Amino acid sequence: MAPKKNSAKRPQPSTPKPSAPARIVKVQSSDGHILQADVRALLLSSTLAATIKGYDDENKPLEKLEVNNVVGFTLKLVLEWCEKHKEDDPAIAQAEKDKKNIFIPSWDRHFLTKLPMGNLFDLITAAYHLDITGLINYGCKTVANSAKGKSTEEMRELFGIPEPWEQPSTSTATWDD
Amino acid sequence: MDPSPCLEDMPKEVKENMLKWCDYSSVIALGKTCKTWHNFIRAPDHNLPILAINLKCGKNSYGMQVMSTVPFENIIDLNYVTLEYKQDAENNNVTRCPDVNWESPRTTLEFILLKSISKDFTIWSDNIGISKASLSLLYGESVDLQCSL
Repeated sequence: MAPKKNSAKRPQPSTPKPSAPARIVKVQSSDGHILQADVRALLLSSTLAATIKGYDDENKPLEKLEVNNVVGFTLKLVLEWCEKHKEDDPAIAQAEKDKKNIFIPSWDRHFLTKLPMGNLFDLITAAYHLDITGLINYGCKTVANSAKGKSTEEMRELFGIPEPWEQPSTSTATWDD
Repeated sequence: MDPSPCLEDMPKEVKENMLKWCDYSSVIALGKTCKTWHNFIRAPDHNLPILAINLKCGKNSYGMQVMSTVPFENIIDLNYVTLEYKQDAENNNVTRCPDVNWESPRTTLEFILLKSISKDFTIWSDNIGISKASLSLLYGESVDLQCSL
């Protein structure tokens, strides 16, 4: 059957807004690396957004955010993705959460597919801990795309699943045992 | 966070998200990689991307076909996984013949054809929530049956 075009609209970048002066804060990874990031980029993470809001509500100066469950290398990738998407309309990622199909923009596709699978898993796991919906969706779909057409053995190799699993061989075993 | 998580160690929500984008052939192949994924996929309510299950009943043979989508970029293609069950008229042996490379044909001895197919069907119904009424139709009718989900 010939493939048919998906009628789902591609996410459109939000209308450019008048640029406010960047508010830069330090972000510290679990292994002690200190990076810098624009607060607008950090707000893509619901977890960090709540922390930042807490500081703002109490009028406390926000000098450094500690991210205790993400290592420096992965945090740098997370911040790179967030920096690229800091102007995005947050409603796009939320709307995509329940869609049956999403389009991965070319920058994201390039960014995610160039990563070794282990780094991609780290990035998705970090996005999960930091609750970054768009990055979780794009990351998971990139992993699913890489599995397309692969046999069980090829998937083991691709995803680093260690040992072949002995499947039941009894005469009554069903086809997907 | 573990410095190098494996796919099987990812959080449940991440696994579910990933399955959402997989076609059914990938889901089945993934379920055969390790026990963790096997058990995860066999658990109900993962919203597997199944559009329909077609059952075709013929003389001494049945076919079961699962249709699913392949959401790949901006293209939606259909993915089919077909199983055929053939019964040897002389000795009643049943052979299951999948059409993809994740399993070789397997013959069971002295096994009832409908029992074999119903066991597979029950697994799908557990996974994707087909009503038991659909299963009883399988027993009662010898005609093509399509269960659209």
